[in-house]
Amino acid sequence: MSETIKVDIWSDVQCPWCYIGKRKFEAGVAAFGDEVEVEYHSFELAPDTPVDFAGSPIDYLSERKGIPVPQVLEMLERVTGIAESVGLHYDYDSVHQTNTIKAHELLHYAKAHGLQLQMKESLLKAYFVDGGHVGRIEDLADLAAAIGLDRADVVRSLTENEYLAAVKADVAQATEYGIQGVPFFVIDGKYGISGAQDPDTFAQALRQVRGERAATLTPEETTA
Amino acid sequence: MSLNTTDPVTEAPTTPRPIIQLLEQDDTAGGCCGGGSCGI
Repeated sequence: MSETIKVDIWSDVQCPWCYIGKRKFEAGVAAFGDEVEVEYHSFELAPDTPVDFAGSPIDYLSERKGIPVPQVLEMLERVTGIAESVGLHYDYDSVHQTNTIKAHELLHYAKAHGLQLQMKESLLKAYFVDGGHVGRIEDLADLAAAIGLDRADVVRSLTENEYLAAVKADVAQATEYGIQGVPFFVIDGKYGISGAQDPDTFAQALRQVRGERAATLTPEETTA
Repeated sequence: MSLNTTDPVTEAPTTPRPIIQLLEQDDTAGGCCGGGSCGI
């Protein structure tokens, strides 16, 4: 019997492909059939964005990144359609473009309390589906409390920047790995998968790792 | 004289292991890079 396969995922809360990729990855794991340990890591797509950015993602991409508005609209329409295909109902008219550093700190806090996966799903849903704000401490604390975390302690942690160093360490690790975009999946510490790939790609990679592990087992281990 | 080539201290990696990209990936799969070449 082999150990559970670990998958490290670099992702940002305001990355539309990350939520889509999450769904496709989950479908891949379901097809794979075995348990998988997942840990999310921080990646900041727009660290220069103010928490209370006065504009939409369309404004951000056109004004800050210089992408023509028609092209932005085309991109968002495409990604919204693909999100629908995996059961996610993106509402870009309600999205609050913001700085996600505190959301990443909260994900580390949630990890320390055994609720990172629930927190990740909650943050992505809040941002893309529910029109929630994922940059302000008070809003984040509400989301944290809704999944069972101690609201007051979350406010304390985020105010004190308790996990800021952990976020920066994740970002630094991404740089060292050469990660330039997200989602990015690292399977078993050695195989990288970039982007919102189809479920089969994830399932195939997991099967490959499982097969490689089985091939290295001693006869005693295979009968244990 | 013997050479100790398995000293765990001197052999400890100082940089992360390189990631091996799987060949089966679809290069056109969506990703986010912060408004860079990939768009979003």
